[in-house]
Amino acid sequence: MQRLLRVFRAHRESLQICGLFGGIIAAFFLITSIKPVYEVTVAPFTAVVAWVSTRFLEMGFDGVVRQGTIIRIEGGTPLDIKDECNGIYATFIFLAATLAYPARLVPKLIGLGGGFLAIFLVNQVRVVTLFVIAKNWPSLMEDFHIFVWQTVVVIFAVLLWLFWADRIAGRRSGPATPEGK
Amino acid sequence: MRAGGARPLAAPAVSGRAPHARPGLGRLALRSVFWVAISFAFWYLVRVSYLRILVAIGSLFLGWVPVEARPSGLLLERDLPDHPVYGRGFDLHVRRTLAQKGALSPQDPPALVEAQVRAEKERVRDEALGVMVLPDRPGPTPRLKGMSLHFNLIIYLSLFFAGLPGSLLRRARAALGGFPFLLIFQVLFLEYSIWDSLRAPAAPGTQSENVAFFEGRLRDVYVFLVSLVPVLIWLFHRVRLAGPSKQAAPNADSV
Repeated sequence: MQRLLRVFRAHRESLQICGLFGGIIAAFFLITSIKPVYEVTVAPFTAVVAWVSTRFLEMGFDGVVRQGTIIRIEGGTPLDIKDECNGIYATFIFLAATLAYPARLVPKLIGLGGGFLAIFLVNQVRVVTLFVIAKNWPSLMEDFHIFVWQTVVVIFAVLLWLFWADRIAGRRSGPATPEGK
Repeated sequence: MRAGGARPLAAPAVSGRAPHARPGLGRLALRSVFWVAISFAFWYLVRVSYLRILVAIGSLFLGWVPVEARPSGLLLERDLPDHPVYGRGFDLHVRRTLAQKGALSPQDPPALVEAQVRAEKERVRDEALGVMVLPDRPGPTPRLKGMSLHFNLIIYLSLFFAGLPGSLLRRARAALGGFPFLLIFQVLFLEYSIWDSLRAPAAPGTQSENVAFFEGRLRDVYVFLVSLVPVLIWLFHRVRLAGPSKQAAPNADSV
């Protein structure tokens, strides 16, 4: 027990931030898993992602049609944008890490807004790329969909957070004060 | 808060790069791309062996899976063609699938049929990275997506090598230190997948709409949850090595 307490004290800061990070992620996930909440938060967000993706795709392809969250083109496989493809989980990771990390209010707000926008844009690249892959190289679709882009978006979100923590939140000298949380 | 709103002393102007100066954004991006590429390559090389290790560890805890129809074992999908029992069923499955696709016809010479069946089995052996759950009684063999169990190795390695301060050795030591936790979580996810694939579906009307929605969503975000674990382990090390309390130190390493 004493040893456990010593380990806890030695890693107090890490454990606090990781615990808070895990707690916020769990809260995001649980709250958006309540069906009525999901229908007014995640579902409209996915519709916006599909709408913006369609606008981007229309710049390069003729005959792109959107029905709800399904984007299709003549001769291509229809793409249904679901929760894994709307970037919401990578956004959760970024927002939770930013909220959990001790920083002053302004850098935190910059991080929350900028990070949300950056991940949204990267996710648009993901959707457009997947659409092109589905149209031209359908056999590669699953690998790119689940493994390559999923990995890249999560890594992007974390490295973006790292950039924020190192350059924006940690720009001022001295540790953050508790009121900045 | 500083008394009287005093500003911190400005750092003296120095020419050249200070020993602890932070690298530019471009260098950070290049470093990240480099380590993500290395991690992908490493994962590609070790993916089958790593999955075998996960399956071997996961098999030790099959008795803990709380389902009525206990699994008798796990099998890598790529080993299916050679399995003494399930291999025969797979052989029939391949022949039936090829016939349905129109790739085989009764008029084909037996040598050609065998060659096509062999080629299809080779394809499975080369490409498949799924895990089959073998039931203890006759019935379907659920297939788990093995790749989603271990692709988080890429995220883990990328974050530890691209996103931790210090020398390569220091980062490698941190990655090794956190690895047992990653392995534990991966085995837990494997056991969850087995449980989820074998449990009896809820009888109609016995499960509320919200619970069914939540369970469906949990299944949907499985890959996300798997990828969250390396982030959490990395965050712990990142804060330990370069957390807010360390950033005030003048010789803190940059990332």
